Parts: sequence; C-alpha cells; structure tokens
Amino acid sequence: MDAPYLLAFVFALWAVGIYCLATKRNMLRMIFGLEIMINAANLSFISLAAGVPGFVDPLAHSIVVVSIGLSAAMSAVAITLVVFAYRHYGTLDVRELRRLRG
Amino acid sequence: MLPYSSVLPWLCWLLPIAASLVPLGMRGSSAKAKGLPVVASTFLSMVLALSLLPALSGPGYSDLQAFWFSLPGGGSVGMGMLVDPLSIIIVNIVAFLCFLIMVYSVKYVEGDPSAGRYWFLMSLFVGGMLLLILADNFILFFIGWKLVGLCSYGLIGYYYNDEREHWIGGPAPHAFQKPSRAGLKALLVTTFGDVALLASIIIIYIYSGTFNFMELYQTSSTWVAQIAQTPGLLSAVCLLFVAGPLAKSAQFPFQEWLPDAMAGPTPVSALIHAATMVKAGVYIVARVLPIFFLAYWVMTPRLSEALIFFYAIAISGAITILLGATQAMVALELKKVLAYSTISAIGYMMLSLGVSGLSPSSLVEGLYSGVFHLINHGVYKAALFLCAGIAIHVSGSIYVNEMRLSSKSMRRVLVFMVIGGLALAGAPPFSGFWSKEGILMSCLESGQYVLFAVASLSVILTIFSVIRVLGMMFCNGSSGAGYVAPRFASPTEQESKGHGDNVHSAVPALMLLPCGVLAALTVLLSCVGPWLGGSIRQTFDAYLIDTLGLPLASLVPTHAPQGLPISLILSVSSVVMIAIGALPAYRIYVQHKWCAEDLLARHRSLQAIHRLLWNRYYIDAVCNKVFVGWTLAMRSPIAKHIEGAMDAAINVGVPSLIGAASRGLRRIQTGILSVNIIYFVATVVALLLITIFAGVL
Amino acid sequence: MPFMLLQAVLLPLISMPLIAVLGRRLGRRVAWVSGAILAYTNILLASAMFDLWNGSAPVVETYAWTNALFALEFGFSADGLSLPVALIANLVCNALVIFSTEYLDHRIHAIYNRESNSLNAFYYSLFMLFSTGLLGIAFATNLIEVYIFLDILLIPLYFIMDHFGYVTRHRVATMCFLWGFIAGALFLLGSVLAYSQTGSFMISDLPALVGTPLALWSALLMLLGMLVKLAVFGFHVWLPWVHAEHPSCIAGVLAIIVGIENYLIARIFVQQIPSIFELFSLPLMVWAVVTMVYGAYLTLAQDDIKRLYACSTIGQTAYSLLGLASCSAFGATGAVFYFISHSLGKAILFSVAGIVVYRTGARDMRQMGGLAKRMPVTATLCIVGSMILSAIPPFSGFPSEWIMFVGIFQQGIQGSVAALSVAVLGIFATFLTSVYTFWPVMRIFFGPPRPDHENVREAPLTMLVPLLVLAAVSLLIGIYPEIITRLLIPAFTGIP
Repeated sequence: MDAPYLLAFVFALWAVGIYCLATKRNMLRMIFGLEIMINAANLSFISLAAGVPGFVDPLAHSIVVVSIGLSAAMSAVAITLVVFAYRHYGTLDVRELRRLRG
Repeated sequence: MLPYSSVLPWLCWLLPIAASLVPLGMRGSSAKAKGLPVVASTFLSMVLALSLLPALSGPGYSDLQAFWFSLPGGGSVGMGMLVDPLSIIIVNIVAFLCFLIMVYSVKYVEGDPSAGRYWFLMSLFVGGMLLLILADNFILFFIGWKLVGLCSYGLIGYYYNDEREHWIGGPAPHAFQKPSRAGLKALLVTTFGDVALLASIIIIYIYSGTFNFMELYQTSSTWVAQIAQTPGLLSAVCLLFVAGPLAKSAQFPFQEWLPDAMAGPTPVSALIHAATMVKAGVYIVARVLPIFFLAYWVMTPRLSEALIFFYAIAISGAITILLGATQAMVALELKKVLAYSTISAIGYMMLSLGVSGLSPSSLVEGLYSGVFHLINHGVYKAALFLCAGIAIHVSGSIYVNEMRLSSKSMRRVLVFMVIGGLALAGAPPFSGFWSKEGILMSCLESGQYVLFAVASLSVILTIFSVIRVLGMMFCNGSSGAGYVAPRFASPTEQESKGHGDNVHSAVPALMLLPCGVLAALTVLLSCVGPWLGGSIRQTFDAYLIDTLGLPLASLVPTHAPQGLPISLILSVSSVVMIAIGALPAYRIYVQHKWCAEDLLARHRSLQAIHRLLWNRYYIDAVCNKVFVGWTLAMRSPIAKHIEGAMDAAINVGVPSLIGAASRGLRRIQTGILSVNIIYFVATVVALLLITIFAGVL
Repeated sequence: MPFMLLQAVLLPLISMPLIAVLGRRLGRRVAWVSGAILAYTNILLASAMFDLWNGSAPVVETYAWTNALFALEFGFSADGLSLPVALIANLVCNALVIFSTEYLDHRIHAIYNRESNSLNAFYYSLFMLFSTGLLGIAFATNLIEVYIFLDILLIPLYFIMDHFGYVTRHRVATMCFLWGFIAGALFLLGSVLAYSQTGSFMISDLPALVGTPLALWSALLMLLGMLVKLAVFGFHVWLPWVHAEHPSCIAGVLAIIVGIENYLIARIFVQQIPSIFELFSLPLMVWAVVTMVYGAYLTLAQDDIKRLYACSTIGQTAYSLLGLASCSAFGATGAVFYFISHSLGKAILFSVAGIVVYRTGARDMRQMGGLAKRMPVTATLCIVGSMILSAIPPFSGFPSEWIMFVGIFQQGIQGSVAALSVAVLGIFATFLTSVYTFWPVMRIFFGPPRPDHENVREAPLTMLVPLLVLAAVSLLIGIYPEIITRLLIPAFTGIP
C-alpha cells in the first residue's frame, strides 16, 4: 500500500474526529471523537512506517502499541469524569453544562 | 563735541529711577517723608536738564555711545544719550513740570497709607520719560516708552480697590468707569500702538542695520530707498510707525483711553496728560520727521509713499482737534474737560508736525511751532490740572455743575485758571496764541486749507468750552447745567459727595504754590512769546540745515512768501474766532442772560448734537462692543466648541476607539471548546492552502 | 573641575535614594537637602557659563557607552547654546524645590487628610529626576541620549501627578505619560531613520543626512515628535489638562519640559541641518502663528486660574517656534533667548497661581477680586510675570522678543507676502499676550476685596523668595542681555 492513500484515509479519519469534537453535544460522543482522532494518529504512524520498502522498522509499531494503551487509560479517566458529571448535573449535554455554570 | 560732562545726561534719568526704590523701603515713614527722595531727585534732574541748556547755543549735537550688547550677524546695540536741540528743549520742559508736580503731590498724598507705591511709580515714570527723550537709539527709546506706559497703568489704576469715591464718569444714570479698568484700558490701547511701532522699528533696522538716530539720519538716503523698492513696504512702515505715537498721545483713532485715565489722582493726570506721557508721541514724531521729509523732498526720485507719514499724522491730528474741542463743550466732569482739551491741543501739535512735511517751506515753521506749542501747553495745562485738583479737593465733587466755588475765597485759583484757560483757548496775548499762530501759519504755508479751516474754527469751540467751565465752576453753575431730559436725572444731593458748600475752606499753600508758579510762567511765556518762538525757530532752522544737512534753501519757494500782511490777517481772524466763541459762552454761563437748557429744549437738532457729543461720538461704545464685547463673547464658543471638540475627539475619542476595538476583539475568546476547535481547523486549512499555493507560486 | 557635566547631570539622580531615606525622617525639611544639591549643581553650571562667557572653550565630555552592535558614546557638551538653557532649567528646579515645601503639605492634606513624611520623601526624591532629565537633554550629544532623557522626564511627571494632582489626576497622569511617550517614540523613529542614512547617532554627524533619500522622512518624524511635545495647535489638547491638574509646585518645570523642545529644534534642526529645515519654514511659521492666536484666545476663554496659564504656555512656546522657523540667526537666537525668558516668567506666574489657590482655596477667577490688598508681594510678582511674558522692559522678555522678531521679519521681507503677513500677525499676537496676562491681574488682584477672603494672608517667605530670585534673574538678563546673547550668537553662525 502506498503511503499517500493511507495518509489520505488518515486525514479523513482525523476530519471525522474533529467534526465530532466540534459539533457534538453529547460528552460521550466527544470522547468517541477524541478516540477516533487518536486512532487516526496511530494509523498515520503505521502507514508511514509501511510506506518504506524493505524491512519495516518496528519503532513505529511499538509507539502505536504504547499509544493505544495510553488512549485506553485516557478514555477510562474521561468516561469516569463524564459519569460523575452526569450524576451531578443530570445531563450529558455540554451546552447545558455551560448554561448552568452561569 | 559740546563742552559739558558726558555723565550729566545719564544722571538726569538714572537719578529718578534710583530714587524710586527708596520709598518702597521706607516703611513706617509718613507719606510726606517718603516723597522727599523723589522730590529731591526730580529737582536734581531739573538742574541737570538746565545744565544742558548752554549746549543750545553751540553747534550740532552730542551723541556719546557705549556698547551694550551684541547681536547676531556681528552687529550690536549701543546705549547713549543724544543731546540736540529737540531733546534739550523737551527735556527741560519735562523735568521742570515733573518737579513742580512732585512738589504738589507731597501735599496731595498726605495721609495715604500706600504712598510708597505712589512715589515709586511716579519716580519710575519720570525716569522713563527722561530716558525716552534723551535716548540716542530706538531700543533705549522704546524701553523708556514702555516704562512710561507701564507706570501710567499703575498710576491710573492707583486706586485699585475701586472704591466708589474714585469712580469717574456719570453722573447717574450714566455709566461709571472704575480705576482698575481705566488703567487696563490705557495699557492695552497704548500697547497696541507700541506693537505697531516695534514692528516698524524692526523693519527699519533690517534695512538700515542700526538703531541709532543720528546714524539713521545720516544714512537715510540708502536705506529708505531700499525699503521703497518693495512696493507698499514704505507705506506700511509709515503707518505702523505712526500708530505708536498716535496711541500714546491719544489721537484719533486711539483717543478713548485718555478721558478714562482721569480715574487716577490729579497729580497723575497732570503728569501724564499735561506734562509728559502724551508729549512722548510728539517727541518721537519730531525726531524721525527729517528722515521722512528727506525721503520725499530731497531724494531723487521722490519716494511718494513717505508722504503717507505726514498725511496720517496731520489728518489724525486735525480730526482729534475737532473731537476734543466738541466733546469738551458738553462734558460735566472738570477733569474730562481738561482731558478733551489736552487731546485737542496735542492734535494741534500733531497737525503742525504733519503739515511740516507737506511742503518744504513749512518744515521749519511746522516743526518749531509744534515744539513751541508743546512748551506752552505743558505749562498752562499743568497749571489747569493742578488748580482742578485744588477745586475738586475743596468742593468735594468732580462735576463742574456741583462745585459752586466762591470766587472770593478761591480768588487765586480763579485767577490761575483764567490765565490757563485763556492761554488754552489761544486768546491773545497769552502764550497759546503765539504758538497757535505758528501752527495755523504752517498750515497755510503748506497749502492745506481744509486742515487750516478745521484748526482755526476749533478755536471758537475751545474758547466756548473754557468759558463754560469757568462760568459753571465759579458763577454758580445751576443754569446751563446741561440738557435736562426725562431720562437724564439731575444729580441729587446724595450723588454728589460733600455738601456742595466748601468742604475744606483752606487751600493748602503747598498745592497752591506750583499752580502759582505755572500761572506766572504762563504769563511770562505770553510776554516773551514772539521772541521765544523766534529763537526756537532759529535753533531748529540751524539744526535742520547745518546739523542734519537738509538742503532747505534750494527747496523753499513753492508758495508765496509770508510777509507781515498774511500773519496780521491771521491774527485778526483768530481774534474774531475767539470773540465769536466767547460771547455766547459769556452770556450763558457767566452773566446768565441766556439759558442753555431752554436753548436745548427748543431745538431738537441741538439735542441730537448734544447727545452725540455726550456719548463721545459713540466711538467708545463701538470700540467697547467690537473689541471687548466680541472677545468676551468668543470665550465660551472657543472653549466649548473648538477646544472642547478637539479635546473630546483626541483625548476621549482615541481611547474610546481603542476600548471599542478591544471589546470587539474580546468576543472571539469564547472558551467554548467547539468554537476553539473550529478556529484550530480554520488555521490548519489556511496554513495548508498557503503552503500549497506558496509552493506553487 | 573634572567631570563637571557628569556631576551636574547625575548627582541629582544618585541623590534620589539618599533623599528618600532622609525624607522619611525629616519630612518636608528634606527640601532643603534637595535644594542644597541643586544649588551645588547650579554653582557648577554658573561657573562653567562664566568661563565660557569669558572666552574659554566649550566643555565637552565623552564616555564610551557601548560597543555592541554599534559604537555609541555617552557625551555631554556644554557650549553657548546649551549652557544658558541648562542653567535656567536648573535654577527653576532649584527655586521650585524650595517653593514646594508648604504647597506640598497643603496638597497632601487635601488629598490624603493626613501628614506624611513618606509622601514628602517620595516627592522630593522624584523631583531630582527633573533636573537630571532637563540637564541631560540640554547637554546631550547624541540622539539616543536625547530620547533617554526625554523619557526619564516622564517618570517623575507621571508619579507626582498621580499622587499629588487635582481631581482627575489619575487619568491626566496617564494621559500625560502616553502623550510624552508617543512623542518620544516618533522622535526615536526619526533618529533611527537618520542612523540608517548617516550611520551615526551623534548630533554633530547629522549634516551628513542632507541629500540622502530618507532625509525628509527622518527630519519630519523627529520634528513631529518635537511638535507633539511642544503642544502646537492640533497636538495641544493634552496641555490644558496636564498643566491645570498638576500640583503648582512643579508647574514651572512642566513649562520648561514643554519648551525645551524648542531648544532641541534649535540644536538639531537649525544648527545641524538648516537646509532641510528650510523646507518646513513657511508651513511651520503659519502653524506657529495659528497656535499663537488660538492659544491667546483660548487663554482669554479661561476662568480657572491654573488652566489660564496652562493655555498661555501653548501660545508662548509657539513664539519660539515662530522664531526658529524663520531660519535666521536673529530668529534662532531670539527664540532660544525667548524660551529662557519665558521659563522664568511662566515659573513665576504658575507659582503665583499656586499661591493664590493655596491661600484662598479658590481656583475660579470669578470668585476672586481685590486680593492685592492682602497679598501685595504676590500681586507684584504676578505683574512682574506678566511683564516678562508681554515683553515689557526692563525684564528679559523685551530684548528676547524683539531680537526674535527681527529674524521673523527678515524672513518675511525676503519671502512672499504670505510670510510678511505672518510676521505682522505674529507681532500683533504679542499684543494679545498683554491682554491675557494683564486682564487676569485685574480680575484676581484689583477691585473691591471680597468678604470671604477676610483671612487671606500673604504667602510665606519660602514661597516668595524663590520667585523673587527668578524675577531678579530676569531683570538682570533684561538690563544686560549680553549675558545671554554673547553665548548664543556663536551657535548660529553660518545661517543667514
């Protein structure tokens, strides 16, 4: 697979993630968008590594593995915060939160 | 060089200035004691001035210069005393009159707590006046000129607390003038003239490179020609120059400060208006006259713009003669009458100096008769003012129709005032007659028949006003009290200070003495009039021809020679004029055969004329409205609309603009994640596009 | 004396901490310490001026400053042009320090309702910066130095105004600082442009600017910076506020700060680059006359005694500008001389206004009248100040004014009718000066005394004696102008 096509796909994934962050109100959906963006970043690492002819340097893949773990941890923390916020405010809507903040 | 010590002219003006500081330090002394240094110094100045007299018989002039300070371009300003016939004659008359007035003041300011200020200003004034006469260059002259103006401001506004008793003007319901305002008015009107004079001195300096009078005379053909090369510049110099003396000497159109200047103490009025300050203008005109005469009559080609100098002075003088003489006929305050007659008399002097340049044959005639009239006028006017001071002091009122002085107890004052008054009117054989004849003769010689007519007809008006005033003062001035109209309330008892009887019955001897001396001098001058006039004329003749080098002999015969017949006709016509004026006045005010009030009541035209003259031809009112009123009216529009607008635009507007811009920009900081993400995306897209297109381009 | 100029400029600066510390203990008596230090620098400058007057060479001191990026020397040059200006500036500072003793306590009471030694210490230590700044500007040899000292002056101005001024002092202090800063920035921009053309910041190297492509812009920017500080018409809106709302004890210094730009224009433009300056001559003359006339009418419109003299400063500094703009030796000499004379006169007048406000508590002239009876010396000083401004002999205003107008008329006669009419209008504006100085004298001091001024007493000696000294200096210069002209004339040779 050629790097440019993979990178185009990565860019599309990233755009999807940005779109979710920018337009969604639901906090969980915003987290999903963040996750998608992180996946796009991981994919970019892999695709750039794959684009090299010959032996693939495993550095990129190791980084991706660490990144997946990090993103999992981050999502866990984020979802915990969302759960607490839901219990406190009774809603998952970010705009509601802003309005209540006064 | 003339045979006398060169230090004496310097001492003449320095002594009064040094003596002026002494009264300020004499705290706790009486007013009389404070005056002693001043009287002593003026006496010394008079003696020093007398010591210059022998120089008249010698030839030429003496101008001993010293270096004063340097100027850019290598030049310098010197300082020195110019002793020539003009300055010797005038300095003598001035010093003499100053001394007598100081003696008179000693008694006048008795009991005044702030007499130290009075003596300081008087002494400084005398010093300044002597400086301006003796100065040999324009800068030194101008310093004396301005000093005199400043001291007159202080002296006219002497009663600065504006107590009701010192207000002049009125009687009610007419407007009054306060002393502080009168002082300010005098200062500002004369400053206006001074500024113009300075402008013309500066222009003259630029072309001639010197301020010294003698050097200006001697090099006048060069620099005047250079000025004339720019069309209109010589006329501008003439007009600017003329404005200074006209303002200082209270001539038309600057005459309005002098009547109001009567707010000062009487010796001040005598000093400023009879003896000295107003004569300063006459002096400087006489000083520069030969230059402009030369510019027109001697130089080839003739610089016709120089004639504007003479026309301006002559016409202004003639108009002032008329203004003064007519207004004196209706004025009710004694000092105002004297003020109007002063401006009229100076009008005669200016007229004489003006016509002296309009024909070569009238040069010497006009010059000498102007100076002669200056001497005579100084003496008789000082006598009149000092007597007026006594009259006001004794009767307690400034209005002639309230004075009701007794001709028995005030016999001497009456005699002195009659002598002075007749001299003022130019009645033969008094001194005023001789000098007025000279002036009228010079008008004839220069061919100015209109001005001659004005001058000689004014004699009628003058004698009328003199007899009117004397009659009202001493002959129980109830009738002829002026036009009594419904809105013109006659003075009530409360208005006139004092009781109308003689408040102080005794006339102080120290005040009477100078009056007597001056009246006696008037009589003396009357007796020696023709010979004195003749010798002054010869002195000036010699001066102009020998010293200044004017080739008069070659220029002279443009009019028929004046022999005895014409001067005889002139004298007879003057006597006739006097008779025409004197008779009605005598009948109305002294004999009370006719009644002025009835005359006025019957003729509406007379009422209109009376109203015009009473309101000073409305000149004062117009000037007040235009200059003072407009300036005052401009204050709030300028502050609010111009300054306020600019201030608001810049000091308030610019910060508001910045504030608005900052508030506007703050709105993009929302703090909302979604919006920030959009900014981020937009930036990334922009960068992408830039890199793509920059790379392509 | 070695390092004489360095001492004169930096001694006040160095003494600041000392005075601050002493002031906390001594309170207002520390003014005498400040006065002593300034008197010492005065003596230094006076002796230098005396030597120069007797023919010795001008003193020039240079110290290497930095060699990084570009070689810059820190120098002081005391020649005939800068010494009189510096001496008068220092003299006025000295006089006003003594004047401030009672006035400052009055202000502190009025604003903070208490006595305060620390505020006194603050004021007197900051006041020394005025002397440093003014002397630095006068003696500076390069443009960066000028800029530094110009901005140094803003520091004490801001703080003193902010702490001791009248009602709107915070806003006005900020306004004053910003205007001064913008003016300085314009000047700096111009000097950087000049550097880019000539390669040097030294003032004496400026003649090399002539003929280079950016010469006009550089000169224009520097000139604009000067004009903003000079408060010409259009840029004048800050002056009435600043001069009116400041404490009167620094008023005279403010007048010098505004006017010293005239000296700078003389030094930088008329002396070094006259050929470029001549291009600006007629527009500047017209602008100056407009400022003079407008300043006069604005002054007539005032009722507040402090704003009155503030607005009068607008017109008076324009006189010097008119003289300089005439690009003639007479005009430039007269202009600097007039600036010196005006500094003395305006210091006296502002201080008189301060005395009247201090003693009567009133600022509006409509509530004043007849004060001469109670305050005769103050009234005399007011008349003296008015005489200095109106160019009435024997004070210094007269010789300076007519010398200046000779130059202005020279330019007028050689130039067009417009230039001549500008000259005539200019000299008639001096008549307006007499009107607006003597009319307030009448309003304040003459007339019947008011009942609510029964308890007004004459000002204390510490306020009167410094003003009398300034009046005496003006009288001396007026009677013997050679003191100043002999020093100024050699500075302007080479100009027609």
